[in-house]
Formats: sequence, C-alpha cells, structure tokens
Amino acid sequence: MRSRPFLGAFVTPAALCAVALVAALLAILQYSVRMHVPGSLEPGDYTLANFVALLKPLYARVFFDTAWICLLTAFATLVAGYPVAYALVHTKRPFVKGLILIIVVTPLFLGEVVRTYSWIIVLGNTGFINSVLLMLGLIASPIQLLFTTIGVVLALVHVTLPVMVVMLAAALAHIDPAYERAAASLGASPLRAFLTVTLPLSTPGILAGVTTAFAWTFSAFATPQLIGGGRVNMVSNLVYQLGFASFNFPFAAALSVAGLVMTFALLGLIRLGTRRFENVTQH
Amino acid sequence: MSSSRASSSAVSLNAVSKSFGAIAALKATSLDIRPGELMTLLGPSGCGKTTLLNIVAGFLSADAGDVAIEGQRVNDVPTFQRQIGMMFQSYALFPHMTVEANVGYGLKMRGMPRADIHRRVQDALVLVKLQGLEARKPSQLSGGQQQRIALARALVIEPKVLLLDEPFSALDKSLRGSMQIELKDIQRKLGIATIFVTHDQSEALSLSDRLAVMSEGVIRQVGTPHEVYADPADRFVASFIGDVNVIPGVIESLDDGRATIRVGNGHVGASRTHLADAAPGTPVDVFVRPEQITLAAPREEIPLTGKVHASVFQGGHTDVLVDVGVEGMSTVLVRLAGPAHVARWAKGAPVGVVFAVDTVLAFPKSG
Ligand SMILES: Nc1ncnc2c1ncn2[C@@H]1O[C@H](COP(=O)(O)OP(=O)(O)OP(=O)(O)O)[C@@H](O)[C@H]1O
Ligand SMILES: [Mg+2]
Repeated sequence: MRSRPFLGAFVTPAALCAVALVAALLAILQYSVRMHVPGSLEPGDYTLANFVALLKPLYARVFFDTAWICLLTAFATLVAGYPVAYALVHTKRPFVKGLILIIVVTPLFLGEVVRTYSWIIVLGNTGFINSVLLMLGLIASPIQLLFTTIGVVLALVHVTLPVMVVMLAAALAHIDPAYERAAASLGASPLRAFLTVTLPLSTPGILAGVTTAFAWTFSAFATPQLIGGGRVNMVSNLVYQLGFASFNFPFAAALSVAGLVMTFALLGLIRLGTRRFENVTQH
Repeated sequence: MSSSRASSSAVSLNAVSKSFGAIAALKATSLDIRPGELMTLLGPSGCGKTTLLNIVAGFLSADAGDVAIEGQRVNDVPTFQRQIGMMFQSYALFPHMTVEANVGYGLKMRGMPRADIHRRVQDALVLVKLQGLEARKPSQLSGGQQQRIALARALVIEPKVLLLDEPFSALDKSLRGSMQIELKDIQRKLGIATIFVTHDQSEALSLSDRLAVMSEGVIRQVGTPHEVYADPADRFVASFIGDVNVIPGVIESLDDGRATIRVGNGHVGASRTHLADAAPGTPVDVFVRPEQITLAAPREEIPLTGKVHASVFQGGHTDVLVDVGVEGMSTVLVRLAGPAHVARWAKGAPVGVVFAVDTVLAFPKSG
C-alpha cells in the first residue's frame, strides 16, 4: 500500500472531535439512567425512573407538540420552497438566479438570535403583519401570532427554507428537461406535465428535503424559546428548563436521549418510504 | 392519414427566422413538407437543424415568419395542442413509468378510455415489434428497445407530423442500420409526414424522400437524394454530400452549355451551370466523385500522376488513395468496383488518374 504521510495529521482533529462527541453522548446516556439528588449536581444511583417519568402527560405532550411543529414546518417549507427551487432551476436569467439564491440563503447567515428578534418585530401585535392587515381593514383587532405555534412555525420555516430549496433544486436540476418536452409533445398541458412527470421524478428530493427539514427543526431552541415565550415548548426548551432552571441533569439527559431516539426513529421511517420511491425513479 | 388535405403541405415554413442574441441560428427559411413524405434536415453541427425542428414542435417561437401544420397556422399554438409526435435523441422515456404507461401517456392525456388505450398500445408495440415488455421500466431495456418504445410512444397518438432529432446517434452502427430500415418501413406504412434531423449524410441519403441541406442557418438545397448527390446546388452541398475530390483546374474553352477544363496534363468537360460568368483562363475547382475517376498506367496526356498512398479493400469496392502532389491538394480518392484492385495498386506503385466520365462539376475558385 502507498504510504500517505499527511493522512494522520489530517484525520487527527476530526477524530479528536468525534471522540469528544461520543464521550459527551456517553456521559448523557449515563446521566439519563441515574437518580436526581435534589440540591446536588452529582447524580445518584442507577434507575429507569427518568424514562418512566417521560411518559407523564406533561412531558409526553411536549414530545407530541415537537413532532407536530416539525411536521408542520417540514410540510410548510416544502410548499414554500418547491416553487422557489423550480424557479431557481428553470429561470434562464443569471440575474434572477442570483437574486433567488441570495434571498433564499440569507437566513443562514443571520445569527439565530438576530433572526428570531426580527420575527418578534414582524409578528408582534403592533408588528409588520398586524399593522398591514389592520391598515388594509382585513382585521379589526390584531391577531395573536407571537407566543403561538403558528408564529413559531413561521419563524422555523424561514430558517429551514434554505436547506429545503437547495435540496429540491439539486433534485430538479437532475431532471432532464427533455421529459417535460416529451410530455408536451404528447399533449400534456404544462400543469399536467408537471404533475405527471416533474413532480414524481422529484420525489427523492422532496423526501430528502422533508427528512432534513424535520431533523433540522427538531433541535430548534432559540426560535421556540423567544417566539414561543414559554407558551410553545419544544424538547430543547424543556431540556433547558430542567437542566438549567431545576438543575435536574439526569432528567434533562433522559429527555435528550429520548429526543434523539425519536428523531432517529422518525428518520428511519421516512427513509423506509424513500427507498421505495428511489427504486421507482431510478434512471 | 391526412387524406382531407392531400393537396396542401403537412408542414410549411414561410420565411421563418430565429436568433439567439447575436447568433442567427436560422435565417429567413422556407420549407414545405408534403403529406406522407420523409424530409431530412442535413447539415453540419450548429447549422440550425434542431432550431428548425424545435420551432415546428413549438419548443421555440420564431422571431419572424409563419409555421403551419396541415394548413393551419400554429405560431401561437402551444406544443401540447399541435398534435405532433416527437422522438428525442435521449429518448426521454419517463423513467418512473412502465413501458405500457409510457406508450399510453399521450392517449391518456387525450382522455381516451383505459380499455382503448390498452388496445392501441398493443397495436403500437406490434408495429415496433416489441411485445411482452409492457411491465418493464425503461431502465430495464436495451438502447435499441428504448428506441422502439420511444417511436411507439410518438406514433400511437397518430400525430400530424413526426419529428425526429438525431434519433439513432446513440446506437451502434449495425443497430443503426436496421433501425433506419425499420423506421422507413413504418413511416411508409403509416404514411406519416416526418422531419428527420441528422448530420450523417449516408443516413440522409438512404432514408429520405427528400432532404434539405443546411449550413449556417440557411437551406442550401432541397431535393431527392439523387438530385442532391448528382446535381448539387453549390460548392457546400457538393462537398458535404458524399465523398468528393476537389481538383484545381483552369477553363480552357467555352461553348454553348459546356466548358472544357484543363486539369494537369489532361482535359475534362463540365456543364456551365455554375460557371455562368467565367471566361477562359479562369481558375476553377473540379468536383469529382471517387467513382467518377479511375486509375491507369502513368503516361503522357493524363490529368494527374502520382503514387499509390494506400489501397483499402471495402468489401464491394476498393478505395485507392493516390498522392498527386498538385498545389492545393495532396491526395485523390479513387473508388474502384470489384475486389481485385488491392494487389494491382499496391502502395508506392506509380499510377495515373483519369476521368471515367466526360462531364463533371466545376465551381469558380472560392475566396
Ligand atoms: N438556446 C440557445 N441559446 C443560444 N444559442 C443557441 C441556442 N440554441 C442553439 N443556439 C445556437 O444556434 C445555432 C444553431 O443551433 P442548433 O442546435 O439548431 O444546431 P444543430 O444544427 O442542431 O447542430 P447539432 O448537429 O450540433 O445538433 C448554433 O450556433 C447554436 O450554438
Ligand atoms: Mg441539434
């Protein structure tokens, strides 16, 4: 075998990071099966009580809400992102392409806190949305957006959109434009050509986008914390409360582990569905 | 098929032009495709063949001019309402649909009942000799099979015109030959007007009822394969269709319809068609096909002499390349019928090139 003199040097930092990460995860796993000793940061004996406690309606509800918000976000992002990705791939003008790309990618470069505060300004009772709706006379009094699931989902869609658009655009760009032309030559209107050819051929992209959006949203923290204002709680917020307000590290660890397991389980499910579609659309 | 309008054209283009920015891909072009005929668009890469085809299909709109299909102006009719059948170079079979769904797609778009679709799809598959693969996906078919499915899909909708853009370029040579014959059979059987794009001149000569030779966005000549081969309209067509030797000569004398041209130490006659305002002494280029010349032992009064560069046995004929060392040309290709020539004209043998016909084509020297 050829010797690779730099391999060791290049791989070491990544390997160290991976080791640290695995160690941290193992520590969390270990904490999750220990007893909480009130008033102490040191955990007590081994127990499964933390996981049993997760089944309490109060906590189960947070998991359910989180999954629901993630689903809503993933779906809304898909609906909002598909036309953008389609336009991005199909526009012939480089200027329009660049503009779409910049607008879409911007949320990634804004800090999470800055972005979230902007949304607070937009969503507030005297914020942009309510002011405009009031001015247009569409509503008589401000509608509550801040501290609601809708508000949280809106802000989450914003930050998830770049990922979704990029993944959809990659999938759409791989579809030979000859397919839509063939459909048109066979008598399909543009809408029918899209529905019967382009859309089905983009399912791998849709599934990849939705999966990623789901996982991306599951770990959201600042957005539900600030826009939900304690009234919309996701798993991360609960972990934060228990860990840093109640100092119940073992229970916070159990929550984290459960969240991780749930994400993997849902991703696995989606993956299973994807595989069938990928077989279908293979070229 | 188009019996109601037997007299009018299946497709007609009237002064159609198209530019992409500064590139004039198609310059004011007119062309009529008769009902039931197979018209080939032939020309080198970038001459505007695909552009013309895409304008007929409606994928591109012309900058100026009119396009009519069966007498109806279709400039503003979108592709999906033009009732065309198109076969793509990449076949563009829908990868997520079975063979049956692919072939039936156009009928489904026309709202045909499922049972009728099934029957018509079967008929179409019989036509292209490919049954029993209905449940397969395109990825499970060979290139040749995909080709037939693509043809069946385009034909099953009984289009007013069939458009084919270099449909055989992805096939290997032997398969290409058999597909050409089959396409021609099917096309003739259905009597469907067809526009066939290719840059392969032998394909064009063997398939076409008529062909249009294009170059740089212009149709140089429209005619039957024989007309275009035997009586090319200009230098470009003469050199693009078939193999041809371009040999420099000088006009020696002119009478009514003929010119006598001195080539080397010999003479040959040419019609004056392309030498309208030439005078004796004018340098010309003689265009002579490899089968219009033959070889002889070198002697005086022979147009060109040289040495055999190579003799290549081609089965039915032998190609002999002769080094002649005339200014402006190095070798002459001579095509001799029959198999016995390789031994006689061995490499290095001194040889004379003589004209086997008394009238050849000549054009004024270019540039
Ligand atoms: N969408 C386009 N944008 C810009 N220029 C184009 C476009 N399509 C074609 N052209 C140009 O127009 C000219 C004609 O192109 P066209 O595709 O019709 O050639 P073609 O005869 O089909 O060539 P080929 O044999 O290579 O397919 C070429 O110079 C090409 O570069
Ligand atoms: Mg082309």
